[in-house]
Amino acid sequence: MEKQRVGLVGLAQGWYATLYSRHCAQRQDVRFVGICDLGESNDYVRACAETTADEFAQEIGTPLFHRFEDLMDTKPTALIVTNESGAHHSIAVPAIETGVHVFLGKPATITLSAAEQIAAASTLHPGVVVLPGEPARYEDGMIQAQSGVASGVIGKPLMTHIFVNHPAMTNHAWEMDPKRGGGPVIEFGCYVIDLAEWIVGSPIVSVAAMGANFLHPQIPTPDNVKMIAEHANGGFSSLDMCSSIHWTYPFLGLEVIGEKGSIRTDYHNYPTYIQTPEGCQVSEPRTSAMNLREIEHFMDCIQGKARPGITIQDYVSTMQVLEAVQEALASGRRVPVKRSEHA
Amino acid sequence: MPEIGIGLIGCGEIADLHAQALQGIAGARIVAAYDLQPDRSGAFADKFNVKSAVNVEDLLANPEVQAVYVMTRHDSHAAYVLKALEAGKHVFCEKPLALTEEDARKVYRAARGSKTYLMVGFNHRWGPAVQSVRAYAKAQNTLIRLVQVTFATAPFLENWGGLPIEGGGVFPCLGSHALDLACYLADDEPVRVTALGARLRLTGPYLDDTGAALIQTRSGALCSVTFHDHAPASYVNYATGMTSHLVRAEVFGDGWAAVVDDIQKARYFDSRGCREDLFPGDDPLTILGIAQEDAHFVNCLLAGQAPSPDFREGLRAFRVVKAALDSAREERTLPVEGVVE
Ligand SMILES: NC(=O)c1ccc[n+]([C@@H]2O[C@H](COP(=O)([O-])OP(=O)(O)OC[C@H]3O[C@@H](n4cnc5c(N)ncnc54)[C@H](O)[C@@H]3O)[C@@H](O)[C@H]2O)c1
Repeated sequence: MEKQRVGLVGLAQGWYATLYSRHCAQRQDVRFVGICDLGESNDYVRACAETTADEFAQEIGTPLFHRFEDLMDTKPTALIVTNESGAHHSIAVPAIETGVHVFLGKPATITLSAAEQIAAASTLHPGVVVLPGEPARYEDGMIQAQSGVASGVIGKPLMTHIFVNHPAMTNHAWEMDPKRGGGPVIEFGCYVIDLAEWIVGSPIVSVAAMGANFLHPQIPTPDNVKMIAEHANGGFSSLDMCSSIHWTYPFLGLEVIGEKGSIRTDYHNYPTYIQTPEGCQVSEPRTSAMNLREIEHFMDCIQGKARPGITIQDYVSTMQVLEAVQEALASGRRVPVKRSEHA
Repeated sequence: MPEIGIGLIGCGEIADLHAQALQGIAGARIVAAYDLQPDRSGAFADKFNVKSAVNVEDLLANPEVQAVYVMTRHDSHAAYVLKALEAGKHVFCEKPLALTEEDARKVYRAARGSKTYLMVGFNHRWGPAVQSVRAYAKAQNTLIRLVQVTFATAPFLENWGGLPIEGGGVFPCLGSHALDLACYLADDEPVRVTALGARLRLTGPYLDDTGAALIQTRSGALCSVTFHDHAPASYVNYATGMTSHLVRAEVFGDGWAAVVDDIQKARYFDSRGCREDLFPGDDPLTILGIAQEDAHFVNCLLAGQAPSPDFREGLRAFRVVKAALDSAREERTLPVEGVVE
């Protein structure tokens, strides 16, 4: 069996970088061709990844490069892109143009324009797999909710509520700088928007939003945003992005009320309830290894065993909504979502 | 034992529940009832063994009536409240206090200058789980940051409630509860609101059946509420068999959260972990808070104290609903005019 030649670019998204790499490096069908730290210092990498690039390359048993071009010289077939999210596209676009598959740590980009650049490259290279990271899509409760709605058992979804709670990222300066990391609005807002469009099965057409910063004076954008959104099917979503909870609380909460029934769940350790005219189905409480599942999915995609469950076009759509959210936060107006060719 | 004689105006669905609740409250005695439709007041009078008043003047002229419940369609609330206050009666008025700013202000002024008391019926404040969550939140003694209220009922707006003059659609009918509850749980004044409204089921003369709104309070807390009457038949509270009203309310402060789940469950999350309180029972009057709000009203009157929520909160609740409606139409965030004494 021909091995996939996998490389890692950037350790800024340290948790993702180390988790995905460790997992891939254990696979029999992967040869890890190198890690590129993009010339960042030991202090930088340690703050982000709790290791240094040297130590980590040794752990994985792969060469360390400081320049992207040098990693590309090893002829990788696939890259895990976990540099600063604001610079993902500067790695992803040339990689795609060279025919290298890319997995992008969430958030895939922090601007619409960067997402569109990646989407444009992807359109020109349809054989190249581009998988934006979105761990929540691999969580069983969310999968049950999405397939439940799509199956029609609850009828047309009319009112959806999604709550995402994740502590704000404050390990390194880049994470707190919205120009480099997107800030909590993008970092976690992309979960809520993607889940809403995916589960409701209908794009968002307009949004109103309110935000506040409760706990993070070091971050110049809101750490909490509440949004209300109108979908193309006429239904509404009430969407909460919360990054100020530092104690045990479910990461995700979801309820969809449809014409005939409803679906409700929290993040793992909670069951999913599907209420329909036939009765109430309660699933077992579950735990889902979301991140490992997504990197496994990437492997399946590059080996031609699966097609990406989430595409860069989906992410462009998420970013189109998030641009509208940011405009709504700034203007206090309800903002229509502008759609372009990639949506 | 001292007694409060009570007259009821409007003998419909909610009147039946209040009458049942009042029958169980020591010191409350229903004296008379009036409805625009004489057959309704007649049937009601027979059922509860009270007098059927021929008109509202007849009811208000009855010296045994010390307090009046206004439970009519929304377009007549303000006029009846004003008449009752003028006649020197205490008043319990079902939500909403009024449908226009002019009426809401008139009621506010009259109640403020009155020797008798006015209470507004926001029964969902009184549910056991809501009370428990609010008490827990207050005891934490930190700022409240986030509130979320989900409110869904079985379809009912294809009736006077959904019409422009008599009911006002989903915003006054259900939004009034959800928005009031959010402010009550945030324990703060609303200052800005933004909202969406839509007709997803109704057609013809009916107004919106679906609403969603965001509120920011004076201290900066963010609240979100959703309200509609699309709850499918399967969406039931298993204890009561009722299609749910208040489905969920979440309150987050610094270091804690408290959640009302399906009306009868409260969950608390804090440094001690997660715990849950169940408020079992199958009495809709208690689950919906109606028995508790009626007891509060009667007991306050017996004690000579002002009941709550009062006319100030009634005016505030009206203004939040109005600002939400205007915001939905104008597609922008609007300030909520404060209630300045
Ligand atoms: N708190 C709650 O959960 C809740 C639930 C239902 C209704 N309500 C409120 O209670 C009030 C009544 O609602 P309902 O569901 O009982 O409605 P309903 O239609 O069942 O009853 C209203 C009654 O008022 C009478 N009426 C209407 N206009 C009148 C007038 N001008 N003078 C005298 N009688 C008049 C009608 O004939 C009818 O009998 C409304 O304010 C509503 O918003 C509250």
